[in-house]
Amino acid sequence: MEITGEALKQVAQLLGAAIAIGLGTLGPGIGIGLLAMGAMQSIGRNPEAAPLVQTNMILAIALNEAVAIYALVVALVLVFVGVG
Amino acid sequence: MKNLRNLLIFLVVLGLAVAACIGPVLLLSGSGIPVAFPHVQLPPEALTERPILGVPGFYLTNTLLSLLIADLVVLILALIAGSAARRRLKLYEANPKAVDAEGDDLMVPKGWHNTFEALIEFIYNLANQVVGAEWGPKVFPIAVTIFLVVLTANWLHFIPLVDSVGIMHCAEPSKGVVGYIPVEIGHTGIYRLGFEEDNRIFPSGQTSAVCPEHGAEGDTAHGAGEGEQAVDESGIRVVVTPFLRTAATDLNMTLGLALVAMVSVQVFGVMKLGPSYFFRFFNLPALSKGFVGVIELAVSVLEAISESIKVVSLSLRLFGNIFAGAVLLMVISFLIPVGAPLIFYLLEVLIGALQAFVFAMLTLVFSSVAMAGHGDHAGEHH
Repeated sequence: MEITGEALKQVAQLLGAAIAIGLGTLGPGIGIGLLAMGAMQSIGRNPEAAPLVQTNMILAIALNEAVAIYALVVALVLVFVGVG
Repeated sequence: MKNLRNLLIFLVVLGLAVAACIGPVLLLSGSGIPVAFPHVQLPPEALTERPILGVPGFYLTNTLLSLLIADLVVLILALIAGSAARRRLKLYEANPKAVDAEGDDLMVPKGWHNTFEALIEFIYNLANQVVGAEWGPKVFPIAVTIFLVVLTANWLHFIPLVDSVGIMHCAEPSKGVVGYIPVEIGHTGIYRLGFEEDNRIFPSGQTSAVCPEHGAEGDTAHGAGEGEQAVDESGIRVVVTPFLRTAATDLNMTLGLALVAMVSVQVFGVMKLGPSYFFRFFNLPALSKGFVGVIELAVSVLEAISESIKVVSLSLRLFGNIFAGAVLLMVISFLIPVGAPLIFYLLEVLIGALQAFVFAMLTLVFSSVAMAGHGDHAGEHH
């Protein structure tokens, strides 16, 4: 039995979406972890700088998360808009 | 006595929360009104039949309506805070030594004036810190406007009836839309979406009161794939289009905001550096340094590409966060209607505020980078 035509399109869409979001969050996950590690270490070293470090950490984490969001947008477009 | 009063307040709030979670299940289970799972689509849904303002293709969408309401809310809140500030200032100028009703000095803000001033001062201090004290006040208005509008637009989502109440209209099976069969509530003439599996109120041959133009046999699905039972032939399926939908779930809105932000960044660069600002993107003066200058010219062209990518990045960041959050809320409400959505609503509150702050902060950072001029100024720090 073959998967052809309409069913193939649907399979490709869903599989593509799953792979996009699955692989796309690997990098940002590690990146955010590294960011937080650096922030924790610097706060531990110098608790008085905590507000400064925290503000910059939040900004950097949001920028890093944006990369994961790009992958999510690709997955969402595949699921809800799909291929022509 | 204070402890007893606090305990009573706590018990009342706890009771209300429990009643809000469990009440609908107990009271409405007889009528069978479940949590609705409206059709999710990426582009915003148009609320009008024809384009408005005479511009072809420009419909009044539910996200546009929501954005207009957010603008109005920000304006009204700012006017309230401003008039309170002005009133206090007039009292102060009349008599600088006077104290208000609570015995505080008149220069101490109270109430909504205080809250709004805290929000604004947060962004003002950020602007001065990032851009510098000289240009901070000039960059501050666009940053705080972006912050307030995006914050309000995101938080508007949590008012009841937003994103859930809307127009019921016929689903279009050719587009792969799986609608629901409309069910009348008692004999009121009000219809709701029927999610029951065994709901066959339109056997073949009958037409629906809600979709009179679709015959019972007219909606055989082609979009759901051959052999799949997504839409059966005997149902006239309808979906709900919400009247209001979170503004940032519309890529048009976030793209427009990102374009405005990046254009204003270029404007600030020109304001500070004059026309020589554009040498940032096309580094002609570097050619005077000889061969290395050619490489610097190429690098500056790359900088132009990077600047245009920032539009994409700004818009997609806000759009992705808020759209994914809206879909998440819908899915969780469908899976576990009682209690679990509360946690995700809290998450969305945090995400909404954070994304507004990040958008404003990035505008400030890009302005500061633009005003610093191209690479020749080493050691420029904020």
